[in-house]
Amino acid sequence: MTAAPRRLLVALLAAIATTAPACATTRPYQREALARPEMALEPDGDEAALRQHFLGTREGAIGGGGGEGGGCGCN
Amino acid sequence: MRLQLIVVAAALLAAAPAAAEPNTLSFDTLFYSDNDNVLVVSPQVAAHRALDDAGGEASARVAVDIISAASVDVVSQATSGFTEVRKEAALSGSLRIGELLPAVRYRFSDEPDYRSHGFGVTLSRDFAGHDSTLAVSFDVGLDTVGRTGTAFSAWSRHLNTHTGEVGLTQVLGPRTVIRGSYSLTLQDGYMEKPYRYVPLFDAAVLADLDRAGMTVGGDDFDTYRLPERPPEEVPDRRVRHALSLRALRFIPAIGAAQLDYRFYLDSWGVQAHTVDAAIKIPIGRFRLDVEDRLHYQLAADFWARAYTVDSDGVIPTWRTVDRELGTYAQDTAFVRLQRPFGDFLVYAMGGTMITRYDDFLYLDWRLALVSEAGVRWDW
Repeated sequence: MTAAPRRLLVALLAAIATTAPACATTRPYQREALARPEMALEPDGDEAALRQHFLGTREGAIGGGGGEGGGCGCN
Repeated sequence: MRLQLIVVAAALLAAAPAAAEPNTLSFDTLFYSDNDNVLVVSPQVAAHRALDDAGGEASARVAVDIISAASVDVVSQATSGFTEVRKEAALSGSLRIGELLPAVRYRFSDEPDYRSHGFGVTLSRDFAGHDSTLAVSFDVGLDTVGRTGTAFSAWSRHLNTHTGEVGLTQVLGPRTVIRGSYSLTLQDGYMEKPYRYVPLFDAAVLADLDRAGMTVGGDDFDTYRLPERPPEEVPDRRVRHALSLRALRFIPAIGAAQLDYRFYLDSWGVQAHTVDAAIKIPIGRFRLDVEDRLHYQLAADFWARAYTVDSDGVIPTWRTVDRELGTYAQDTAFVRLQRPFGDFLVYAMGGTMITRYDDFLYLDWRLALVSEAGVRWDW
């Protein structure tokens, strides 16, 4: 692994290490807002897959939920 | 193959026990059209059957891309354009085992000149009273690249892709949740397009044009290029890194605000920043989503607008006219509206994609219209 990706990985781990322990457990009665449909991290996997395939073939980057999938379907 | 996948999916869906989570059947279609003479229609059908009430499910999806293209980088190869159909089928399954949620998936994609098999596994685990979720996944893609009109047995090349990803989702309080992830993708094999041929130029001719205040472009490159036009050639290995972060916060009286950022770099020298911001606003029985995605990337190390031949007649080892390896900025903005009707949810989305290429021989910019509509039935 070259220096830049290693620095990125260290930054991610540092961010996780600094934020996670500071979080007190959220009680069930405190989860009303988190349970709302618009607060879903992945609202609809199939709709998202269709859009990510469309974006993935038009961006030179992949990863982070932006996978190219198989084949092209482009140009 | 597709029929077999459908039969297996139907058996999975029929055999699964009823559970508290809703089962769904959905139909979506995406339309794409741009001023570079490309039209894509992508319908898909998907079904999900819950296996437990904590994320376990069996699912199947069938998608098709119908592509009609006479874009500048197609017609610049002295062809008049093409119409092609890509078919994809995917199966996945997951089952909650205590705090663990293992998942497996398979995908098959087929088009006249490209076949792809994809296998993947994910293992996720909840911690801290479901406030933290750690997920680790590994995917393998086995692709075969061919040429339209030529049997795979007569000419084909292979591309193998391995992707590992680790992600952590963390609830930061009653209104905020974040997720960070890192993915590493290794690609080995044929990453060229067999139809791409790269125009070459005499450096002295380009220098003369430059002195005259002219730049060779899509309209006149054929006038100035050398007779030789070798095929595209890029390295056989690509190591790709992506670091991404998603934050989602509930804002009372408005809805949810979502922000995504991804930093990407690879061993070919491409670096990219992608920012995606969205706001999701419930309005009575409707929900309005407004989203904007900005992607900016820097070109691969071997990218050139115009490749030149040196005085000894040696052509560049690596050469490409793949615009996704160049420097460009792209903005995608869209509005999405959804409304439930009993057990059904209907949505429609419309937007634009504007791309500005900094240094692409054939094209300076592109405007695309994108729309999507779908219906989901929960039962």
